[in-house]
Amino acid sequence: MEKSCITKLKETLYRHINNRKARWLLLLLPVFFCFFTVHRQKEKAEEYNLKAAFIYNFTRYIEWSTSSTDHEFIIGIIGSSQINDPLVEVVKTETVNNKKIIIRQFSKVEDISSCHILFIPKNSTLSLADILAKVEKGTLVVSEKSGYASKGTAINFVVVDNKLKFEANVNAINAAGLTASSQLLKLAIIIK
Amino acid sequence: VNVHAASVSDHIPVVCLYTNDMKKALLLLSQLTIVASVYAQQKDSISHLLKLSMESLMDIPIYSVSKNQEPTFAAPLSSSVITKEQIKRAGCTSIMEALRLVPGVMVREQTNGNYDIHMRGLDNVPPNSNLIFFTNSTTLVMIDNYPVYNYLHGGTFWETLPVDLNDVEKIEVVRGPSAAMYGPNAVSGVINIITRKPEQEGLYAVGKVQYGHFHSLIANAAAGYAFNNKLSAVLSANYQNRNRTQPSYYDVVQNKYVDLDSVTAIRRNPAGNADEYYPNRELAMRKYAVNAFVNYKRSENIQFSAAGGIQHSQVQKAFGSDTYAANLTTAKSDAVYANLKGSLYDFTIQLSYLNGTQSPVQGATIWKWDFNTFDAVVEYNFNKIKNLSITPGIIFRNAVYDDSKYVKADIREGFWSGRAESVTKAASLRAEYKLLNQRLRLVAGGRIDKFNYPNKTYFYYQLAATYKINEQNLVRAVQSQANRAPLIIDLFSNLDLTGRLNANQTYLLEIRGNKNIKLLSSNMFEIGYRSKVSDNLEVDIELFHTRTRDFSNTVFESGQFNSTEPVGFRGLLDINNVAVYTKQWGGTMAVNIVAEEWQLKPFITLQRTTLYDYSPYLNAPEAPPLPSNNNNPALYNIYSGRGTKMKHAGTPSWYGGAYINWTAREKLNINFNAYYYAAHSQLHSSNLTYNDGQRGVDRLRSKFILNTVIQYAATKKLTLSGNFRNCFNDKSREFYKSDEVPFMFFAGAHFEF
Repeated sequence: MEKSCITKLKETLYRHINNRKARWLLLLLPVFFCFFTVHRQKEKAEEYNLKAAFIYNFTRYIEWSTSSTDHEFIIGIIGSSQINDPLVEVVKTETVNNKKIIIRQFSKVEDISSCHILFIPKNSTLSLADILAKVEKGTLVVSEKSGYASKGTAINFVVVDNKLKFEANVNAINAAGLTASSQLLKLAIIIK
Repeated sequence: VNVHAASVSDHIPVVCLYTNDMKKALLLLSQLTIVASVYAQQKDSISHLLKLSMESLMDIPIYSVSKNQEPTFAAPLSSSVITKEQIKRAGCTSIMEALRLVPGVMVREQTNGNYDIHMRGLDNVPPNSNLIFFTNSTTLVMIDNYPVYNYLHGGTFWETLPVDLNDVEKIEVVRGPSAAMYGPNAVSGVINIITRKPEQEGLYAVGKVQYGHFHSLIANAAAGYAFNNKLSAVLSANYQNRNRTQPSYYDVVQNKYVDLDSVTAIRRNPAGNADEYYPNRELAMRKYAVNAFVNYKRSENIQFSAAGGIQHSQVQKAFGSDTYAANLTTAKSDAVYANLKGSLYDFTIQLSYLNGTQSPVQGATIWKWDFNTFDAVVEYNFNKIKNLSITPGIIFRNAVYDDSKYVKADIREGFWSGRAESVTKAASLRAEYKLLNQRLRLVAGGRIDKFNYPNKTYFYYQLAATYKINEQNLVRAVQSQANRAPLIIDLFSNLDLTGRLNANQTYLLEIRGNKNIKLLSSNMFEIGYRSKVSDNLEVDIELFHTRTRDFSNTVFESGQFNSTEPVGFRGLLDINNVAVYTKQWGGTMAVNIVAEEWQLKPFITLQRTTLYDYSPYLNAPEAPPLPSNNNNPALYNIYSGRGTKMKHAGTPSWYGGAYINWTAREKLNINFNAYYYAAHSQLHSSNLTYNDGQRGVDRLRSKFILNTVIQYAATKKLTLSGNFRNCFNDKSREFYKSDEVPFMFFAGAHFEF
């Protein structure tokens, strides 16, 4: 009986030592956390929130020669993409030339219908050539995969030094019957 | 009876500490919450970004929230995911160790690199068992959805997994009985290791080397090539070598750690072949494997993948036992595998084949066999009706364990002395329905299994509901029932043990399997709540109650002494169900805080397990009078615990961990990760033999392990790391009479392009 009491006491002591280490650490970490965070506050944004904001901004700098009968501004997305949720947020509050923005998803090339902007996610397995062949005039094709602007998309997102930039293929924009403002092209990496 | 008294009094200090530690945990959580709330800013919100000019937008650095946010927010079951980035930052040296980053998983190191891994509990039930029953035999472990647990006893030989961290994209863990959704053996949960695929066109290569204390070398490399956006291939190889942290072995007779040659069982071995049992005494683990993966994605609707590989491993761990072995034994495995998966529109077809040789107690004749397993699954996903998805499936599984090559089957020298074959034919149905504007999601799964043995049809189910109160808050509930898979050991054991009884006579013990055994089953009710308290604070809470019954153990059924025959005693032992059943209450809380360069993920599980009807006597009333049943089997037998209840000491009452990451500079990452558990006691069958409260009992002290990892990106392709494991150098052992687990330092380099 005595032996087991001593063992118990010993165990409790061990635990106490361990827990003191633990407590020390657990109390200190949040302090470190506060300290460093205060010193390192910077603005940052999530990639697809930024891309959605860019896409909305493009509508201000690009002219669609749309017929006046259009009541809606349509943004198409190929397949599923992380951009979907941020775009849904944009749609809730914003309009383009007082037109309601509608988001459509296309899973197959055949499904692609008339839209003002078509976004091709980088994980899309559909052939770019097939998509470009199916896209109607008046559609601004936006992609996010390296080399796609030179393959014929109008705008292609690229990340340079951890910041979001975009390439613009002027020929592709013109061929789609769209006009890009010089302000926009000044900011873009021009692809010929 | 002594056992009960000892374990009850043992818990008094634990119970007192329980509340203290809970307080500490709550204090920590509240602190973190306050800190996080201070930094809960909306700078990243869309509405804020829309106000900015194009020029300003182009100047904002990007971060990827998907990497930090919990991907399991809407999951109907208790689940967690850890990603390759988290594993890398936490400096984990193996897949097993990486599981310490997952809430609700008990990870105890036996010897350097070898772990015992349990989910939520059910460890050391029934207590006072042989080592093999210590192993977790109730978790479904998979690689890319292919089962890799062992049909032998339902456990997983972790060192035999062909993949290593360089192959891992993420590890998904589901807690609680989920066999209806995932397949048999998902009784305490599911661990699914998802392998990596090339992300972009062209070549990628990963190479990692870590070298540290006890000659621990972990080296692995993979090269992948994406020919285009449809076809990719990966070739990978991994190697680990680790020495033990101590030279001595536990000897139960002397109740201390001694040199191998002084271990009583080794000294008593008339063959004197200790070197066959222990070819490398200092070695804890040596393993290597080569894998190849091919993925072909013709379109969203047509996809194929194939994988194949070869593995070799030799470890010393606490798994099996033998008359002439110490507590640790050498386990060897050699295996090859091939997997094939195809998705054709709404059909999914999956085939897998595994073939190899295992000897979990190297040197002992009975512990060696060839095995092969074949699995085939065909599923069809019907999703034509809005908000409704139905997935029926059929499953075929065949497992063959054959020891006839290594033993004399005619005298029943082997574990099952011949070919043991377990066949499963099953049909499953999963359905998911969303209603109330998609806020309420109902998930139901059911499965019918028809085995060759036990010759009975098993049905089990899972019902889960999630309700999204709003975008930030979700409540959920699960009711499920699951069975363990039929085990080769339970069904097919067929071993005769003989020896000398006295000067003129021998004994014969016939050990038999039981083809009518009832499969272990678990029922669970669980409720959960997840909340995105703010943009950078997520909380996940689950509370569960589980009832588990039909555990199995070796039972002394009958025996007869005969004073005139040459065989003086003939006894029958079988693997049979025992009366004990368990009820477990518990809860797990996990918090994820992301603020600027910091990510904090503390988590804790509190649980209490009660054993009902537990009897320490492993004999039937018909067994002969023996000292092990106080010479009164009619009174002391497997049923004599009826009506009793006791707190189970084998699972710690609290355990958990924390992942704390700080991206200090663009090139510098500092990570703290912790793992901790409360004191608990493991009881081995030798406790019944010696009955002195010392031998056969291991009171494991509570432990707090802190790892610190400093990583510096020397170039874009090369990261160097200093990896400090168990910084406080708490050497206490983590598993029954195995090795101490001290501080280890690893220097590492990680190359990737």
